Formats: sequence, structure tokens, C-alpha cells
Amino acid sequence: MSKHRLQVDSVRYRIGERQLLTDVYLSCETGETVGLLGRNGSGKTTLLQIIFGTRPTVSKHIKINDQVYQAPYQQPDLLTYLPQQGFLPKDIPLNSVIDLYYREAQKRKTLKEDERIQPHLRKYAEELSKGERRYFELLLLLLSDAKFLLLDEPFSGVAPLHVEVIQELLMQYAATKGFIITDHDYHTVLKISDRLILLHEGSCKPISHAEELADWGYVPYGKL
Amino acid sequence: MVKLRLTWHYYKSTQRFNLPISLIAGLTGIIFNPHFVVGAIDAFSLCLLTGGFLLALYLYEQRHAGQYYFYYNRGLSKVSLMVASYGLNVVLVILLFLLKLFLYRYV
Repeated sequence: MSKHRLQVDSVRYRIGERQLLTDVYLSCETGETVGLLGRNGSGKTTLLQIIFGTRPTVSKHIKINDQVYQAPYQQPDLLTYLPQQGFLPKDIPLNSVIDLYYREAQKRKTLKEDERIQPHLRKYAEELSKGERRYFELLLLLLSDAKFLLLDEPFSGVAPLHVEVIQELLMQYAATKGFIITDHDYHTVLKISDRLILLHEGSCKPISHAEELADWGYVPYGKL
Repeated sequence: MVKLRLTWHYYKSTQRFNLPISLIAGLTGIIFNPHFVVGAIDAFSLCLLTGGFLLALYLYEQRHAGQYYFYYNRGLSKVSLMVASYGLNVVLVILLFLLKLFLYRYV
């Protein structure tokens, strides 16, 4: 299977007087999981939204397979984004969400026959627990033909049992898709990532050893 | 086809805010026009395309901002959703205008 490559370069973003992102460089290939760590307010979500194309900025250079895109999300089958907050419509049950989102019978079937989703098909997104909702959202996105998934805190507020389930789900698709994951549950991120990047003072620092996270002040020494 | 269905879903969601506001405007239109049906149609149409529409977008943004990602993930931009919704409202207003012409001519 041919590899696809996402390259993010020269991303700059300013909020008022604060330069949040300064010439950020990031890359990801299909079959790779990149863990993006950083303190609260370091700009992780902003960076993901800039890559996705929904947050405008003065400077960015997003390339997928050497083609430059201004708003990659508007192109079919390139990338999808799991936002921190839920993104499912609240006015229709999951059954209808699936029918609305996918036309392909096979994808609808896969979702509707999933053992964790099937019992909830008549429920509305708000009736699900955080973990159940996250699982559904994730599977909905994973079944798309997008090469890359930007996952913004997929484990946040999720019970440990569901964290494992979500982790397993990601592993099932890890060979064919590229993931950029950001989450404060850094133990899980460390476990599933092939490569780690720390967003620190506006730029990306490649992390080769987990201990470097303590050197950069992301975690206290002795906590890893 | 998926994009059309998603756009229609977005339109219905915004109409949940726009329609009640425009209906209230339509009722007030009755007061200012001796032909009360025509007055109602005029006020309803005007509100549907102006204040009601803007207020609906604002309320949707306040209450369901995260849901835009549902559409983004299928390649629909916020601007395209808004333009399509406005276009559908224009079609609705044209139909109401035709109804008004019919009422003028035959009633």
C-alpha cells in the first residue's frame, strides 16, 4: 500500500500580543501515530484546527502528498478532525446520524452492527456516556476514506475501560491511516505513539526519549 | 448526495430558530397591512431573509458551534452551509411571493 505524507510547515498564529505558534513544523505518514503533547494553552488545538483548515492564520503551508492545500478539509478523503467537544447532531438518534453521514451500505452496516454501538442506535448522542460517544465518533471518522485523522483529546473525560477500547480501535486502523493525537493523558499517548512531539513556546520539539518531557518541564521528574 | 442531505439537515436545524422568529414577525405584519394575509407574508418573508436568518445563525453558533465539525468532516464549509440555507430561504420567499400574487389576483 502506498504511503501518504502530511507536512505542516511555517505555521504562525498570534492571539493579540501573544505569538502562540512560531514557524511550526510537523509531519505524519500513513501507518504512523504522532503524539502531540503540550501544556494547557500551548496551542495544540489551534494547531490541529489550522492543519484541518478551519482556523485562518497569516502563515501556513499544508502539504499532503506534495500538494499544497489551504483548506484540506474541503478536499475529499484527505483528513478528518475529532474535536475536543462532541460534534454529533443532538436532534437525531445515532441510527439517523449514520444514515446521514454515510451513503455506502457497507459502512452503515459496519457501524450499525458494531457490538458497542448496536445497543445505542435509537439513542441520541447526549444520552451516551462520554466514552460511548467518543467511541462512536471515532469509528464514524475511522470508516471514512480520509488518510489522516487529527484527534483532539480523544481520551479526555473517558473512563479507563473505554480508554482501552478506544486505544484498541485506533490500533486496528493504525496501519492504514496517519494519526496526530493530542491528549493530557500522556501515558496513553506515550503508549500508542510511534513518535512524540512537544509543543513548547510556540514550536514543535521532537522528543526521542520520554525523559525529555521532564527536561522541557511538561511533567515532573520521576513521574514517567 | 451526502452533501445535499447534510446541507438540508443544517438548514432544518437553523430553521428551528428562524421560523418561530419569522412567524412572530409575520403576525405583527398583520397589524400594519389592511390585507392581513399579504401583510403577514411580507413581514414573514422580510424577517426570514434578514433579522430572523442572522439571529438563527447566531443562536446556532451559540448552542451548536461544535456541530459544524460534523459538516466540516464531510467537506462542507460554514460559508457554503450558510449560503445554501439562505438560498433555500430565498426559494421559500419566492413561493410566498407567488402565493401573494395569486391572492392579489383572485381573492
